[in-house]
Amino acid sequence: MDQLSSSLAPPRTSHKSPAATTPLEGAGSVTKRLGNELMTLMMSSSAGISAFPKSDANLFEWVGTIEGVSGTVYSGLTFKISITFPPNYPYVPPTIKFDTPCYHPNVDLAGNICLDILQDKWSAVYSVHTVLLSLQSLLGEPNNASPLNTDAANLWDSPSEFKTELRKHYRASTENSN
Amino acid sequence: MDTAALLKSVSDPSDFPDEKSAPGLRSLDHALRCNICGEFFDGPVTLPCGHGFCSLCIREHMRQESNCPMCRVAAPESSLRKNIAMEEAIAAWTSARPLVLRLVSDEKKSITEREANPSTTPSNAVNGKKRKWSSEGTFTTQEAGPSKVQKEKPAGDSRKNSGQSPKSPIRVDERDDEVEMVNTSDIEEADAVDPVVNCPMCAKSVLESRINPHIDSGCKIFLASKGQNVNNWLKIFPGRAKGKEKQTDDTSNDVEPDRLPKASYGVLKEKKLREMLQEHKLPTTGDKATLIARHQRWIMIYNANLDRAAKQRKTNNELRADLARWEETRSFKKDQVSDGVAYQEAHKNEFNQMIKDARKRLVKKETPEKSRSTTTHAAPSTSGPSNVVAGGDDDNVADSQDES
Repeated sequence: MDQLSSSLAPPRTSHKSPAATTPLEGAGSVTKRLGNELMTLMMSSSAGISAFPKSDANLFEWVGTIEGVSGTVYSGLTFKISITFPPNYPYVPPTIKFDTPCYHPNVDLAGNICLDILQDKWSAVYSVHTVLLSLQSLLGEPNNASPLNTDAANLWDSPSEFKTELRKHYRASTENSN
Repeated sequence: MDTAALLKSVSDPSDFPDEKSAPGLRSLDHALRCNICGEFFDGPVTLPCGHGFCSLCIREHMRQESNCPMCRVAAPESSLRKNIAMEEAIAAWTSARPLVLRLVSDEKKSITEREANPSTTPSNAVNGKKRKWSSEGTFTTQEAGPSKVQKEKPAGDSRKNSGQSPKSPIRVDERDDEVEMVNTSDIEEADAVDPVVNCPMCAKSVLESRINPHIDSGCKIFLASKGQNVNNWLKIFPGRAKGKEKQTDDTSNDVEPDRLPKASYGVLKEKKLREMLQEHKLPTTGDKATLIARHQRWIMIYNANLDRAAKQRKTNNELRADLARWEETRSFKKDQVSDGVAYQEAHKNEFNQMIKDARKRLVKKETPEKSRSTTTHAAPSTSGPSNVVAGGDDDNVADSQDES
């Protein structure tokens, strides 16, 4: 078993790693752009969103937080997301996933998000900042026409039940957030 | 480079104070930056919709989609026009920027000093004083400011001018879907016998009847463009007959070096590709995909370089160095396939750890729903709940590489 899986591992790595684990020197212009974005995020005063690289060593992996807007069922909840930038960012969208379980019509149980601007409607002029804002508004205004989580889509119109279900799934990441 | 160092090296509109204390400075700094890379425009070009980007940034984008990233209005690469006034404005602003930053911070300091020493000012006049101060202060900065802003204005005009180059009479304010029509009909009026069309590959003017052989030749023969137009005009203005040497160097201003045509790589043999690379003194190593990528990139950086002002342009050797650097950054793919056995040996511990993790998860998966959700929560550093073990294994490969 050991033998088998380790002989399988290298080709899989080579398939996966261009997107997942690009070192800092991946591309000078990408790092520059990411630095620019980080600066914009830190200087902008958008309420309820933030993002920062996971570690100094790899600028291509970020963690972000999104707070639910008051007045929506997500009010008072904080969601952690992970952002992975491809080496040819910004011509290709970043991969974004919810780390905090998020009961939402357009988010599946593994945290994958169905949002057009993260797929075919992505544009190179979008940034982490604009994407986080879009996600924040997606929380309050789901697109129930193309749900990833049909249960959530069906429940959306009955807010109190939805809220119960949402609370059931929600787990604040206490040990990581401060 | 760590994050802090990176942030220090980033220049950004937020280097300037907000709109209240330094009106216009932030937006000026922002207006001169490309929305794709966030840097000051490098070889600024304008699209038919009026939006502008660095030449290289937009060309890279147009490899995937021929539209404007801002408004998504369709725009072929051949519609890019360089924006000379914008480039001048940027050159001026980048040289003025350090001074302006210093003036702004000096002004800020003196404001805070005034506020800290209210004894010099009557207490009820603090507000008025402050306003006066900032208007005085911005006076100095405005001296630097408006001159740039004024320079920026002609940029709008030049967009229109540069949009009307003789090759393709596209007007910037034209709706995009009309552009093609306007384009051909205008030319048809000028030359009703055999209309000149823009080659979809190299964007040069070619007689319509010759377009197919032209494309087949790799965009080398049957160019209708300059020669014919010039001859037509010479019939009307014979006095301006000027023997233009096409071979003159990049430095001469009136003869623009030609842009390189794109190639239709699908129909090209590897040998032909190597010849094409050799033509530009580029390396001919690697498989076909590498050759194509190299040639594509070369055309892109070469053409983008032409959108810089003649003085700012890089030499072909510098471009070749750029290309080599670019290839280095994407060569990490090669390392992984080079030696499987050695790779296994070197990463043995990681693989064993992965196998362990995968087994653990396999066990977890077999336990009931509830306990699964708590156990995945206990280990937030791994990539979350994974429904398929194989997929989880894959993620883990990436994770452990990060750690190494």
